[in-house]
Amino acid sequence: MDIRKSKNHAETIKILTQAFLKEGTSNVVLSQGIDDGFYETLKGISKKYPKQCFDLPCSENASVGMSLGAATYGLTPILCFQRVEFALLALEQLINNSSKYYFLAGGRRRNSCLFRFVIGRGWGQGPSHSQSLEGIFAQIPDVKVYLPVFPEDSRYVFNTFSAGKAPSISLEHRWIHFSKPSLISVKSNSPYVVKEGSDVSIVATSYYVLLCSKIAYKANEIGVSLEVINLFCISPLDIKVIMDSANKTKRLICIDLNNTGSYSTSSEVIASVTLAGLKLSCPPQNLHSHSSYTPSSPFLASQHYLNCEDIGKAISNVLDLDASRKEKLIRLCKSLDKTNHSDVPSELFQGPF
Amino acid sequence: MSLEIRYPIDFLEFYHKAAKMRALQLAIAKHYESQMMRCPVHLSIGQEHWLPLFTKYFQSNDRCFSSHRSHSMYMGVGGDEEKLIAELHGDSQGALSGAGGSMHLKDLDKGLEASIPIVGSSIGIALGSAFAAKHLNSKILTVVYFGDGACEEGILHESLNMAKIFNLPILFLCENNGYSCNTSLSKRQPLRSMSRFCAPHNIKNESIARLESYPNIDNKIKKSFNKAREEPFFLEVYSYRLYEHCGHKVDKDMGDRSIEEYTREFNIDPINSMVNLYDSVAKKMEDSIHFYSDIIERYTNRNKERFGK
Repeated sequence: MDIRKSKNHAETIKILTQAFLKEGTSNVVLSQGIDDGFYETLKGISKKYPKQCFDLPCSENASVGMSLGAATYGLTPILCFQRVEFALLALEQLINNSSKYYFLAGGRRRNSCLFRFVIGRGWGQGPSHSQSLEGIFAQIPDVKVYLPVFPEDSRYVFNTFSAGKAPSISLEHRWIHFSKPSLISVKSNSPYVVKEGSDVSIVATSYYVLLCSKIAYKANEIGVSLEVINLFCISPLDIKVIMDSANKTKRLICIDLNNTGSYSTSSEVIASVTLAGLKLSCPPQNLHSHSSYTPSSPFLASQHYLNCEDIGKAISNVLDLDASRKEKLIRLCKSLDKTNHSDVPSELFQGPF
Repeated sequence: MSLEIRYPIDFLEFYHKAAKMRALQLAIAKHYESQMMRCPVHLSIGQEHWLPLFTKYFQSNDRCFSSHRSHSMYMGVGGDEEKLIAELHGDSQGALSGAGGSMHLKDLDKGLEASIPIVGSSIGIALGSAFAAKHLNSKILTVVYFGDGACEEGILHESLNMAKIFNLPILFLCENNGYSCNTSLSKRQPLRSMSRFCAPHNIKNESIARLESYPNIDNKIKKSFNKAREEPFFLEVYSYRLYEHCGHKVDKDMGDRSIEEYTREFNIDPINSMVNLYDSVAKKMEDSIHFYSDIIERYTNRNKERFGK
């Protein structure tokens, strides 16, 4: 398979959505601005399936409630929000009426549906269009929370969400829409190894999986062997693969999209493996963005986000490297960082969203 | 209007049903003090008179969604009274096997799909029920029951708009009892009518006055149900809650309302009027209180044992 010619993540989501709508007329997609194609992921779909595609007013709370109710009473909805922050207006329905509905009905009512919320980055998204907030959703019991990276991840989400008893939430980082297939078949919602290695286990989410994979291949050049794990599904959190990896490497770095290191995805992973008795040769690292909120300016934003150099430093902290190899590793990682305050996922990207 | 005209004998069977509903709640109130029904209970005493007519037009496939004041709709759809009593006692024989208590009542076999005690929350789910019914062309009516308090929540206004945009078969059934918790409507909103929110969303509406004659109530509920099967419709029912917001006490000397107001409303209470007018209704009430009290005592005694009291 020629990766360069293969479909990217956004195109794959479009194909998956088409297949979903073709499957039956009770499958529906709801999104404000659905005719605009939702970042190419729904391009042309509302024309092809006009009776199953619904544009929406702003009303996020009612839209989530309507999707949950529709899911209980015969439909299978996919609801899309342009940015995850809009879902904050719908937390009432998400928390009060998603999996609790199944609980109160003694299992006689389900509401499996898919919520696709986009995490923004770059092109001046600023502090209200770039948060990931996955921990908020992960606090709702029995709701599945995914952070897909590769097309295969979304394939798994699309193929399985309707069989659940409660909703699934897929938090799509805007930049992973450009990812190419990993050629790894995703068969469960467990975290999985993207690249094998023996010196350090790196557990990453979303876009950082791509960054860490790049670093891992580069680090091989100087004999540093990194194992990169795509966390993929943060709730429910299955730590077996992480335990196996970190038991082997004895070193653990967790990297997430959060802006602080407390109550974060990484702090949950570290807590879970600690409770499971994991013994490491040095304390784990918890990497997150450098400041509480993302500034809009590309010059400031590049200081906010983690880059390859930051990750290189964390790797050198957990490895016993002599000064020259340490410097070499950091320099190598730094060489992977884009120059000129790059704020786009690829050179082909056109603003504003 | 004389009472005979307001509550004509033609509807006697409905007055009997209404009296039973009052009796069930009075029996609950009487025993609630023993602290063996250990969940918050929001009684609808003072608000029952129109419910038998709701029952009349609610069809077996229809779906109803309620607020925290859920005994009304539970009785309205014809929910099993003993299962309600068991649920209040946290018993595994309860309507939700003890999972939900009074505030989450359901009777899935009778069409009460959910009661949700977060004000306005059930409206979103109801919207989805109506959306599915319309998309699947299934001729099912969705009724969402809420109070004047829910009209202060954004989701009602979002949902009215969306119901109209998608032209959904849904009845917005608002019971305006004049209070949200213990705060009177006059402290919360500039105007008394909840139907005023329909015009901005181009939704047709009907309203039932507090002392509307029973034949009129019958006509208006019938019309509302029929209209709502075709397009979103809003029905406002004016009533008065005689008891406290949550609990078993009569709300006359708790400082939330004046004794004068309470007495005035008590004297015109529709169920009291029916009881005063027809001996058979009074007898039905008395018998039903005993009937329900016996069931409650059974569960209460069982709980006393379980609590070691």
